[in-house]
Amino acid sequence: MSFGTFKLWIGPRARLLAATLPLFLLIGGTVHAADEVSTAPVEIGESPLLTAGPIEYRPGRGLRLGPTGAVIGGFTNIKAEHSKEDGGEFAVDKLNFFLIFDRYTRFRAVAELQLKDIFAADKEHAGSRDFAFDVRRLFGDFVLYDELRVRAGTFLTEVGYWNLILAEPLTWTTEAPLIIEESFFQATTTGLMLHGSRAVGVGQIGYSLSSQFLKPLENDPDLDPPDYTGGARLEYGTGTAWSVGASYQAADTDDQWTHLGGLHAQWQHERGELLGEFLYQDGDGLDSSQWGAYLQGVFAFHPPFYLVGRYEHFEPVSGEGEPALNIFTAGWVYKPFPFMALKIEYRFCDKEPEDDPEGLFASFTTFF
Amino acid sequence: MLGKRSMIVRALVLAAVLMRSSQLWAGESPVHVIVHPTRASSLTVGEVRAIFLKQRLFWSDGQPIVPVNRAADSEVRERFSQLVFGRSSRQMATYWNRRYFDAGEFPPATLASEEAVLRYVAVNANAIGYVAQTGNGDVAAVLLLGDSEPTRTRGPGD
Repeated sequence: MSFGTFKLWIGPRARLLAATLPLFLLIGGTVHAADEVSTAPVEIGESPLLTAGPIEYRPGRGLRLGPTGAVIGGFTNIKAEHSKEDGGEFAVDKLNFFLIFDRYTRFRAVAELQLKDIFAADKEHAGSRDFAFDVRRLFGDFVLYDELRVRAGTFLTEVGYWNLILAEPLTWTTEAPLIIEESFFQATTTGLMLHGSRAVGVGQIGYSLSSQFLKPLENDPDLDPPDYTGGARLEYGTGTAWSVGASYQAADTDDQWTHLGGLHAQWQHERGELLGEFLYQDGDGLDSSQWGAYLQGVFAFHPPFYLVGRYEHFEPVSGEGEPALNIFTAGWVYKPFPFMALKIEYRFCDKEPEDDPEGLFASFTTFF
Repeated sequence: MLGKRSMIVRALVLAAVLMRSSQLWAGESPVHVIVHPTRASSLTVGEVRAIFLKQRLFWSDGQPIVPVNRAADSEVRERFSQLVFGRSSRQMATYWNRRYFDAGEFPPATLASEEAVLRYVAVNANAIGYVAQTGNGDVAAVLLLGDSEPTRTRGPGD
């Protein structure tokens, strides 16, 4: 659909899913299973802010529709930036809704519906240019054992660390590292994943084996999804203090294969956090190898005020005319609540990248 | 003269350390991890951590584990959080934010008082909670935290 400069991407699958999902959640809520025990018997998280009969709202954890197990939540991101090249821009960047079915221990369903590029204003234009509505994720998780769970549908691709926190309230900077934004791999996988975890030594070892063999739900015309992927991810850590991991993904696009390997490490302390990630990709589908890495540090200098610094290096595929880049980001974050953040950062590069200019970036983001 | 000053400084530092230690001991009581008496068996700190992070969902007989938390502003919740996760309950929100986004998972349910935890665990064979005092024996303590080293204990069901 197109309304002048207003484009609306609503694919047939998105329309069908958007229409049927709430129905599915409500019907699911009425199903009784005597052998199942809800994992949410009394209260979820902290005290509700609003209560209307069985319906409760908890900030940052959504609206729980009583005993149905249905939860409606989401997040928003509003951002402003000023770069030497493009000048200033203000944008209501995202409004994502979660529909979660959380009634049984052995099964849960998650849908993420995304409204993207809702409003943008710069020196030449104000309005919605590339508004899009899409089903970003839709999956069911079946728990057979702690060590074996099956996820089916469209879910975040299990590579590295940042791709699994692709929601602005979970990140410390407005702009993601270039290796996340660049096309090393697609953010979501549509297919199947086996995953699980088990206690080993002082920590927990988690694994996932995933494969994409279906077309993605997301209807964005800019997406160029591979025909088939197969991947594995292994992570060891305490779940809270530190973790280390490795990932691998093979992807086939038009019978040309690429191979992606990644390493990540994360360490948290009361006074801060360190996160590093490295990706390397090669194969028939690329003119040459490409690789990139980042190291990000967060210092809680006066909570809820935090300082953030990040160094990135990116070696793109040779022959595409882009030089290797070193990018530095220095920022300040105010987190009045764990689910809300105000971020301001300045990013500068040793060479001017094509799509991601140097400049000042700010955003307000919150789960709701 | 320098020696005397050094001794005075050392004495002041020692006094400060002793005062801090006594404050910690006075304000920080042990935490008992409790289960229904039919579940009484020892658990390690790692197992309790995995349960309260919802990484481990099932008892060994396949029944779902139902962990229950105390309110975030309670002293025993804070103590439990520090002893088991090495993090404050506020910092744990980061972990749950991630699980909420990634998998649609929520933190364990919260009960308002120590008595409510004891009552809930006493009547729910799949529940696990934590309290400062174990009460009259309707529940089984399976792990004692914060009493120098974690101690595995057994309850009346053994």
